[in-house]
Amino acid sequence: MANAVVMPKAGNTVEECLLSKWRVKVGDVVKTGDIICDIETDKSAIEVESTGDGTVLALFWNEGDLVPVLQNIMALGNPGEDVSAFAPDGAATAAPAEAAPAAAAPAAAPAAVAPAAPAAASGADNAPMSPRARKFVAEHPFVVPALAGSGAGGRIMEKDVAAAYQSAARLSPVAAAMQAAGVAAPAAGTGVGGMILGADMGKAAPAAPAAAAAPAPTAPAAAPASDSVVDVITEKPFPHIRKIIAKRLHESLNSMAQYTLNAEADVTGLLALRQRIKDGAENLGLANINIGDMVMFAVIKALQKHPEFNAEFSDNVLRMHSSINMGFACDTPRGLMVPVLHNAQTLSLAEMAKTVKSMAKQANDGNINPDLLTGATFTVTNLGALGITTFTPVISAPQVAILGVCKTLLRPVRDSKGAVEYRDFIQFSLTMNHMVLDGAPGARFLQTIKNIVENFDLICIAG
Amino acid sequence: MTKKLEIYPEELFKKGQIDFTPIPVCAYSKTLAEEKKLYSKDEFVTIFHDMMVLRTFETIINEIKLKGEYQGVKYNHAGPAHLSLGQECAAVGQAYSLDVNDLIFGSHRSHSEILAKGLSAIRKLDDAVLEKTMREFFGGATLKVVEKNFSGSIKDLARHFLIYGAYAEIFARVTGFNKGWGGSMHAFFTPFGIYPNNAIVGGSGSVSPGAALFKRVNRQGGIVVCNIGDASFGCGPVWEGLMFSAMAQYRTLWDQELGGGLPLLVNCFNNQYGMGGQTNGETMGYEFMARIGAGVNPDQMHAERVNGYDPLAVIDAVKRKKEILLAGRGPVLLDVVTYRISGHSPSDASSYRTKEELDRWIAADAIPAYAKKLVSGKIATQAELDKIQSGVEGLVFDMFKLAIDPEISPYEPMDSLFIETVTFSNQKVEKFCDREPEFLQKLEDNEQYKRIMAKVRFAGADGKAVPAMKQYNFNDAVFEAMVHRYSIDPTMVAFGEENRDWGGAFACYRGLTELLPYHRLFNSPISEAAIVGAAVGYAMAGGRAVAELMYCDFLGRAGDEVFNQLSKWQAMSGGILKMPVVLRISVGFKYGAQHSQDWSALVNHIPGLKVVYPVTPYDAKGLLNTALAGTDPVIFLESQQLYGKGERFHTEGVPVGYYEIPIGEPDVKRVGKDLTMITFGPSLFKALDAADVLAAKHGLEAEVIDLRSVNPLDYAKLVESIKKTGKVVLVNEAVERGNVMHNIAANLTQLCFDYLDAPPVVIGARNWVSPAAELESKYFPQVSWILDSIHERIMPLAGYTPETNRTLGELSRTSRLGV
Repeated sequence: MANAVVMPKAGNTVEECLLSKWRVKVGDVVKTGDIICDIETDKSAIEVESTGDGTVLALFWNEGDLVPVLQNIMALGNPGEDVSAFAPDGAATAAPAEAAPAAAAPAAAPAAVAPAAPAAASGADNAPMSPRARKFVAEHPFVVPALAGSGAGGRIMEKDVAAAYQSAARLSPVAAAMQAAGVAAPAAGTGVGGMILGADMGKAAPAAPAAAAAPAPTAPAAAPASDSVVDVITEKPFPHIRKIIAKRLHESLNSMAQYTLNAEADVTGLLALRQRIKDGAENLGLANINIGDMVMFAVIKALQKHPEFNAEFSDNVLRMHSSINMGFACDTPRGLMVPVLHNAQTLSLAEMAKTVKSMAKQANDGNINPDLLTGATFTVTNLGALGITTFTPVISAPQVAILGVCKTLLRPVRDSKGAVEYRDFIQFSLTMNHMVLDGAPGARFLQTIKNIVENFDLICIAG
Repeated sequence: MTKKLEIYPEELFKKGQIDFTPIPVCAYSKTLAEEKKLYSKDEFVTIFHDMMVLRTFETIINEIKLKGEYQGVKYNHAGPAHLSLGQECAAVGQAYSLDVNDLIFGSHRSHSEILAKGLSAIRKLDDAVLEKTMREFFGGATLKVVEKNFSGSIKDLARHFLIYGAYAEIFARVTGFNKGWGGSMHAFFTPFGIYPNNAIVGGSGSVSPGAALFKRVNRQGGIVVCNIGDASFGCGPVWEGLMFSAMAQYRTLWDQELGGGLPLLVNCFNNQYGMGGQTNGETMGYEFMARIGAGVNPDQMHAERVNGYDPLAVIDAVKRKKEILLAGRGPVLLDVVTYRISGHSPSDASSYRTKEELDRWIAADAIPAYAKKLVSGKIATQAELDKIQSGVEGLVFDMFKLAIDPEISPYEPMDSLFIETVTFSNQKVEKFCDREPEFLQKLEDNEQYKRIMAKVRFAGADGKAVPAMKQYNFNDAVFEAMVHRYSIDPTMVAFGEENRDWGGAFACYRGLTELLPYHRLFNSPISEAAIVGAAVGYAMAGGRAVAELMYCDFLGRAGDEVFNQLSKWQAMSGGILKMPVVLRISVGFKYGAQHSQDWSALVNHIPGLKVVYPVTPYDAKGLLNTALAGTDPVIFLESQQLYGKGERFHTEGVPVGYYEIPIGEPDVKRVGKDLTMITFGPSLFKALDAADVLAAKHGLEAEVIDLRSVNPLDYAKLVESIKKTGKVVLVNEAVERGNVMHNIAANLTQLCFDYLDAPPVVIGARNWVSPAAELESKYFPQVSWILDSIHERIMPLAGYTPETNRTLGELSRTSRLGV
């Protein structure tokens, strides 16, 4: 008995989804719960499960189609069964790309657009574009600038658009579908790395950093038990970025033997130095070097002495890097992001502080180049400003350790003459992968950091 | 050519004359008293019965074609109906003297011949054999129809079966003798010795000698009858068939134990007209058709004119001629005079003949005349004959009604794709007979075999690692594949021009003359139609044949045999016939406009042919092995540029042992990522040279794919390559317009559209006649043409200056001018 699988309603506000990839093809046998395709909304990527058993007899949409929710996307049954009755209006079985899902979409949908050739929105001049180049654009949505094609007669070929893609603003799947439908794309967007999101389409300039999607309250599923208190459930579907973070963190804990050592370092001297820098900042151009910068600088120095911490571990091989690519966690409106300071060992403290501030701002604004979010060999995360005195940071695989920097605490210290003095101690929480690093090396690494922090001026002078 | 026959000037220049012996004309003169001694009453009556079956059968078709109904039963027959009303007597007379294993071939007008032969065979077959034959035919589908509610003898059942099967075939029903794929002009039933009829006038003239050849080579009893009309003697292929079947070598050079001359009766049902053209007096000059025999051989083909309106005269003649054939003195020519009182076809208004003429022949109609003879001669009473007639009319009408009933006799459901399963039979058959294959010597003693075994089987990547004479080359690959199959299949024969002694014009068969007896390898007359036609007939009769055309340019001479016979009979027979024929065709160069053409596009265009064109010894041996083990017709193209070339790709060397390469699988000869070049034929080597230049000067890695076959063709590797590179050039040496590469390019455009960075570019020879050898580089695709085409049509190559004009403007210009 033939039956159909529908495009799920992937959230209360979702009217349509982009079918990004089919995982099955006609002729495959599927069971309930098998993943049949990937879909995306502007905030998330979702795997669609089959709701029936049988042989796939028809796929009604092509990859890249924007499909209204609750429409049939696939028919299942026994081989040979006629499933034409399941075909949604406007979709064609195994349709070529120009087959347009007709306006059978719910009225609220912002038009079920036909994914026409993206080249329609290509550069200003009318150079012909090869089918292969069009395919590249379709698979790598971006705003195609005016291009000089390198093919015969100036035809734009794949290599031309591939080169342009490296420097152009990219389009989210929804934005790409909107562009195909004729909505104008701005030169840059508000997404990560300037990605143009659906919300940017039709606007002249990048909007302010996109606010997190407003949670949509939904009606309760059943009548409230109490007559006075109404439990309002607020659903917040994970955006794509959060899904990735969640997955990576879970995999990290799953795949490593993580443990944490805590230590502290006397920063009384460092605080005095920080005050002097602050006082002299105007003259020396050293504005805004803070304790966090100094600690990160100290960690960079320490890593040069402990290369086994500046490393990646996988497949039973430890890969120690000569370059220190320092990741530093940032709390942003989109959630946790970790910009990476590449070749940090080559920077002076002033250069380092300036770059860190600039990158943190980009991350916060959501326009950081995605390439600056990868490649860290060691990570520092700082919760001191939020009053945390100790914690267990989670390592970003395949790195082998992460240093948590915590609040500075005032402690009484007895000097050699027996006198008690109050000094400031910064707290460190070093999480390590015990599969690679044992406690003693970890303790020694913390000692090195402590030593550098406590003799920071001398170390800076020594270079 | 043979050294056994020496030629002396004094003999050739000796004075003398050619003497002809008189050719008998309607010389039959037996009296009724003499005839009563030869035939029993049953036999006399049988002749009447059979003529009535034929007459009724076609009368019904004639009525439904002209009036749309017969005795109140309406039917519209959309297809052809070439009737032979008036000619029944000649057909019955012939069939009367034939045994089941005497095979008849026919024309477009053969309903009566197949029914007469069928009725004759039913009488002569053992009941058990008859029943088994019917029961096993298409799984009993045809028998099932006539068996329902039938009671009576097996022979009577078989008559129902025959008439019904023929009608169902004519009306294109799946229960027909060829599942409806043959139709009126091709219906046949081999178990009764009825071989294909042919809608091409004279079509059987070149095909039937092959069946006679099969009987000789494989020591089969019986004769082969080629039933064709008087007008077909104006067809070249018929004359070629006569030349092929009258070759002296059967009686001079071949092992006489085989039986001598071909057992072929060339039987002309001389009904005076070719459509409307009157052969005697208008369209031919022979006056008596039988005269032709005198021009063929010293026996004058034992030619004779016979009165085709007297069944007993025909029986007498066929009986005498069959004796001559069985004695090895064939072939024989019979001129059976008859007359068609129906039109050529239902569209025929008989504007070419007078009413008086027609009335005269209706008055002379053989059937009432014969009935009168039986009654007046007191052999049978009129009442007896009337009873036979009404019985026959009832039977034939009943079978007609069954055959037009769509419930009982359905049409082929075309969506079943049955025809795809019989267009090619795709079988592997090691041998078609268990007899020990005949050789003149042991292979190990063969000088050519020894020479080949001493050769180096890999010539290095540049083809120059060993001296040319020591390289195992393309010729050697052909030799080994041929010898392998010769040693397994005793039915395998090869023939063509210069195949023996010379060893083929290009020496592929060198050494086979010493290895094989004449009947397995022989020279044919320069008769391309007969060469291919005989191979077709040989395969129809049950053997494996390798025919050769010395130049692809000569394909036109065998046009009908390749385009309508070799290609079509597997499908037109509904899968009953197999066509294990390899047609080796050499593609020339250097010899100008009529000796340098690659016509792969023509054969690719025709459904039912497999088309291969290997260009390396490894591919040649593997593909020829596959072709020779198969059951389908394979056009095996070979380039004269490459016969002497060694193996450059298969680094382990061409295997000494047997191996097969599937037909339809392209071969990646060079791997690359930037551009795909697809070749068919010797252009492979130009493409490889172009790939070298692209790598050295432009930093581009070209992938080069040798198609090896164009039909069938698996596009997977081509698509995979284009998905990688996005750019494709197709090259071969055929002229560009209508080039087979355009077909492939068009398909690739559809299969890979979204992966293409530029339209596929086809490079072929200029659309001119090919020039003299010295000028060929301006005519056939060169390395520079490939680079120029890439530069102009795909991607400009930095710093490159084209040598020729490959622009789109030039494409438009030459197209506009048709050159």
